[in-house]
Amino acid sequence: MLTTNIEAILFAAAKPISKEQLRKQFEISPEVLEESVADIQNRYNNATSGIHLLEHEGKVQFVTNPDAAESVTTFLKKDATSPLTKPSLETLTVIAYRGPVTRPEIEQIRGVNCGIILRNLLIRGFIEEEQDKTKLQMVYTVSMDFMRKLGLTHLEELPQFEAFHENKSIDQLLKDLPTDDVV
Amino acid sequence: MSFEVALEQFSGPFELLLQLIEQEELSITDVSLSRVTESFLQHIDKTEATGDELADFLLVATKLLLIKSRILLPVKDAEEEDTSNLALQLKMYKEFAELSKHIEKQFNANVELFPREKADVIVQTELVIPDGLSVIAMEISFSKLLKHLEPFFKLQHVAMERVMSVKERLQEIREAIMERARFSFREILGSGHTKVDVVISFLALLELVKQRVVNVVQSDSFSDIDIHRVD
Repeated sequence: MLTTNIEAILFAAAKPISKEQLRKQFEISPEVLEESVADIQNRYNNATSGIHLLEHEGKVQFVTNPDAAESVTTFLKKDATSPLTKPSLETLTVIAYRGPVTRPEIEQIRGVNCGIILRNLLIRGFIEEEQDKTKLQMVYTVSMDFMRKLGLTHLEELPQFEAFHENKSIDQLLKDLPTDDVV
Repeated sequence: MSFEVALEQFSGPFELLLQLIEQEELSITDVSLSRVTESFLQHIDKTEATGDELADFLLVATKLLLIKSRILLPVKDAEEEDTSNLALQLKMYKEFAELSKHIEKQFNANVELFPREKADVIVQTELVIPDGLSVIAMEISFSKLLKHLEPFFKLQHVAMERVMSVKERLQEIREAIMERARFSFREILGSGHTKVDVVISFLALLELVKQRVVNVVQSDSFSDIDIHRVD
């Protein structure tokens, strides 16, 4: 019954719903909620289902099957997105694999100032910016829109995601960030 | 901006460096870094770069020069960290550059996931009478509204009246002065006048003075004003 209700809400709401919001509405523990979400995912996220469940940064949303993208695009007469420049692409890659990540960390990996690119990506809605309370810095994550554009229902679907998301040698390199940041 | 054009094919100093090393078919080590230092500097030379990006290219250039100098003139006890870091950084960059190819492929693969465009918003179409609505409540509300508007009506009324009165009073005085060659301001006012009457009469009188219909003489402050017809 709980899973049914959650599934119904996700269908009716038609926008990303935070899992926290669902948890509060039904007064359930995170574990119980995760079980329901997993149940929905198992039933929807397969090749024969036209609808999939997208999960990202604590939010869930019903979306179409990536394999149906072409038909849906044609039917809805959607314009193709303009292509990404190489710097944007690299920056997005770093954010997707390492997010939430700070600007100095991104710049350490790319070896170049990323201020303008980050601003453009924010404007295009591919990334999101949030103040990290412990780091006292802005941290960046890819947006739901970016996930949808890439046809991902989970960041884990990216190749070698875990290997790069939690990588000791990268962590080590990012730790050696120059502290005398003159901006 | 010209810098961006000149180095358009490079997303940053690391990409340039990586390309130089790969051209020489070298692996990423300090030795190979020192070997491509010259070409890296040449690339920077060709640009008229400004701003943050140039700074980043120059930073890498200095690191390269440091590595090269260390190799040419090995010094013991030097901080090894700095130099080996560039090679490590470059290796890490290379991995992400590889990963970005997959992201690019996905981005252009037309695999977009579409959400529902709009939520079903519950629209109230039937007439909903709010709680506590009655004929009496409506009457009370309307009287309250009228009371609120009252000062506004009053204000307009007074303004209108005054405009009319000045004109009328002016006509009165003019007629009076045509019959009698002279009389006093107090005579015009008569008895039982209000402050507004005095002001209006005075304004009318001033207007007549301006029109050179009458002359006025006042012997003292606050004394009566004598009005003569101008012949």
